[in-house]
Amino acid sequence: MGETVRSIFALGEEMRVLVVDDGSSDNTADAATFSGATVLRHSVNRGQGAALQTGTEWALAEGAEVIVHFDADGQFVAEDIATALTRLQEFPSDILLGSRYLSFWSRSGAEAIESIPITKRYVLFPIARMVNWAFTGLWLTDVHNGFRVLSRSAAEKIFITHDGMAHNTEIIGQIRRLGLSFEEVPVRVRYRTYGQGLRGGFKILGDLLFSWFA
Amino acid sequence: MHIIQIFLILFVLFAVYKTGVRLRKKEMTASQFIFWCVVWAAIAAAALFPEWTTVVANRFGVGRGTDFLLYLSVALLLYTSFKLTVRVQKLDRDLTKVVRRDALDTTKK
Repeated sequence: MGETVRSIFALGEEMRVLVVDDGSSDNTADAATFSGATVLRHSVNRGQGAALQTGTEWALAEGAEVIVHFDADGQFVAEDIATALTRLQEFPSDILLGSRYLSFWSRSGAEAIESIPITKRYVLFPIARMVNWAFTGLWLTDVHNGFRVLSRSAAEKIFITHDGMAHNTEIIGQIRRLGLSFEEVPVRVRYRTYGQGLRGGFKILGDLLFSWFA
Repeated sequence: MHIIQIFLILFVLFAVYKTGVRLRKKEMTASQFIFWCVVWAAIAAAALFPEWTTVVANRFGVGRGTDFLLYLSVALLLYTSFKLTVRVQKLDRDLTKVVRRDALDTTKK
């Protein structure tokens, strides 16, 4: 955690890091505070989608111009933020979405793709892409990638209602509905654990289906 | 009389008693009380005179009274679980709103 926060601060002075502690009981929050990040705390665990929305609202209130969603567990690489920000400056769009699969064309990308577990690459992802397409109408090279760069105006328009992991599909759906411009940017993902498996996938599908009635 | 009928009658008596308690504690309105009493009475009637349910079932095109009751209860249970799931989702969202406001307010200080 501390390492991740410091690697982002190292990108430049204009960087501010917010960590949302989603009701964790370990010393995550302390580690984040110690490394200089601002910490918001959910008193009860509400899920990743809820934490992202909370963080985004804080950033907007603090007057952020660009908001980056970045996983705190060290699976992303801070330099990819710099690359994405440069891209955003040169080719402005409302939102940039990280993609593991575009990394093929970057230097260390092929290697990063190799590290994705086989069953994830060839079984879960193709299914996830289809589900994502069915729900959002956008065909992306990667879905459920937590790396996003939101312009202020995009962050103001998007509102995440899915507390759990279905927020990912929800955001993409909102991009389409709101007519936001977007681009996929290559990011590297270091797999330390398998992450969301098949059960997680079914949970997302269930969340999406039932939300039509809520 | 079969044992199952005795069980069902005892259950209905217990349920009516519990419903009455809730009415007395004013946790239930009179119309709710009447509604549940009708439900319990229907169950008692079905337990005591199972052949009646078959008569009703045949009206609906179902062969046996017990089958008819089973279909009805499965449909009812499915609907209940659907309603509960949606309700829980709504509660989840409300809880998130409260937790989020709390998180944002705490940091401002």
